[in-house]
Amino acid sequence: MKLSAWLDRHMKWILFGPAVLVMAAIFLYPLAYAFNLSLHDWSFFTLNDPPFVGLRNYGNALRDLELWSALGKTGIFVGIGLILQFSIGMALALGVDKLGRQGGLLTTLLVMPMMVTPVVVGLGWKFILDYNFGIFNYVRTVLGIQPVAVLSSSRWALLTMTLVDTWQWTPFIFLVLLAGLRSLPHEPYEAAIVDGAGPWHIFSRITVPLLKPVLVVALVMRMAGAAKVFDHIFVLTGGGPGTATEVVSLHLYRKAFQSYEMGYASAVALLLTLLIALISWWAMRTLYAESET
Amino acid sequence: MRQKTTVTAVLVWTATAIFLFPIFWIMFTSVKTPVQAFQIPPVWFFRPTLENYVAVFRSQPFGHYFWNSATTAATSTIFSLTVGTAAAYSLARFRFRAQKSISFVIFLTRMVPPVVLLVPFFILFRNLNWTDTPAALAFSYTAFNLPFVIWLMWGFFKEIPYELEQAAMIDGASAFGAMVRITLPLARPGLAAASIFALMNAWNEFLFALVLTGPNAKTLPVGAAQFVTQDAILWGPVMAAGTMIMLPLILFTVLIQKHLVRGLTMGAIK
Repeated sequence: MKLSAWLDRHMKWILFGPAVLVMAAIFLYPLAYAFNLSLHDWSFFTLNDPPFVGLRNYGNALRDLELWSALGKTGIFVGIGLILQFSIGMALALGVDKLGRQGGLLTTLLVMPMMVTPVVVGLGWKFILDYNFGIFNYVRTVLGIQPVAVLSSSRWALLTMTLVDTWQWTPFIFLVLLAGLRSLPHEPYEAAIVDGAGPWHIFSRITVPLLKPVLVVALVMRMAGAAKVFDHIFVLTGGGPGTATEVVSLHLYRKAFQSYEMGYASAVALLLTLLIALISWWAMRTLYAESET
Repeated sequence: MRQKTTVTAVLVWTATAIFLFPIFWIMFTSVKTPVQAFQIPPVWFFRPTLENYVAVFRSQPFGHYFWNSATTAATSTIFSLTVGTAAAYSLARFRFRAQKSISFVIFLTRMVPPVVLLVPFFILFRNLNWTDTPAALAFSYTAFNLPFVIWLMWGFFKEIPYELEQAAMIDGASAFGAMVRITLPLARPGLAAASIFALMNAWNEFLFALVLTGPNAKTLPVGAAQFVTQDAILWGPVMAAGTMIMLPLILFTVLIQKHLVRGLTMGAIK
């Protein structure tokens, strides 16, 4: 009896405490450790006694042209990907929403690409796009177009990565927008139809503004997701040809685990976290402002 | 009007077919003979065979990877679900002065690219002699599953009225008893969604497994990716391996679609 009374009185922290401890051990401590690493010249040759170098790693990071180029490629990857995923996802959501009963089956089918293990996505597309044995170039030949080795072409590789990402994640945008569309009120639409508004007018003046909060959340979630992308690029091109598809997470991976510049990699990782924190903070503020008005 | 719907249906179904083609192609190739897999123009009619599947198990300890993937995913899921659900319940039922900061921290942890934690994990695990153990990998997956579970369950618990528990407590139940007997059963759809996502994240994860495991704790995605580093890729077995990794998740999708949609759109739609 006494025990249960004690449990009840302290329930708040008995339940919340473990999560705080685990998060501290698993997130906070590693981040602090990374900060300490970033102040040292931790490399393959200085394993046992890495010298303290202060903020030099940060300075090097900011002057590293490869890093800026990786950030640029990430930006292109995220930007083009988002445009494609939102336009295709929106079109699909509007279509499925209209189709009524077939919608359930269509949704089940359309969600599938999102479930596929990213490494398998990479393997599957690598086979499809293979210069000699892939069906992509076979179709091109049949249509009378010159076959092209997209994965080893510095011109097409990054765009191809974006398209593969679009293939996998358009279903997510579709799903979120569909759920959003179904939660919209009917009244504005009825009023607009009475007023004789055309479909484009209804879409741009009613649907999009009403969906804005949903659009913003989906946008933030995809931005974060796309900035993390590693698996399919690693399998498809490994960052190549040259560094044509070396987005920021691949750049970090190469620095840390192929050149073993751990101190430098930690500095870059922390700068990246800071950048993402700023973007998140800005996004959350916009979201809150959005929901309060 | 009727005609317009037909046009929409044709367009949407065509798009769906295009989206499903790569998945179909992986599975389709996996049941060709290794030689047929390479043929151009592609072979469309053939007698399905399991040769490639046999080849996968012959060339790599795939059963071992399978076991590693399953245990790592299960351990991390159970751990994050227990700790995360408790924390979410506490957040939903009690007043926290720093509620806004807590929700921002959780949001932030979901935005941080995993590679940021990978460098410290790599060195810490090396120092602790934890590298290449399933437990270390499961532990590191918790870093991403825990915030997700808290986020998702917090939303679920907020929707379950406190009055139900209060009624039970008037009837003599303790606060813990009311939570376990009243609220947790009502939150079952949330728990289902959270566990599916935690399992899926761990099952699909590649980068941490690549860096933190060796022959002992290697998981399926790393095993599959190894096929590609070889000079001549044997497409047949690769597609068979791919099919085995993705098939459980795809079947899952069909079975529990309702929970899945709920979990995915949570946070975007109230």
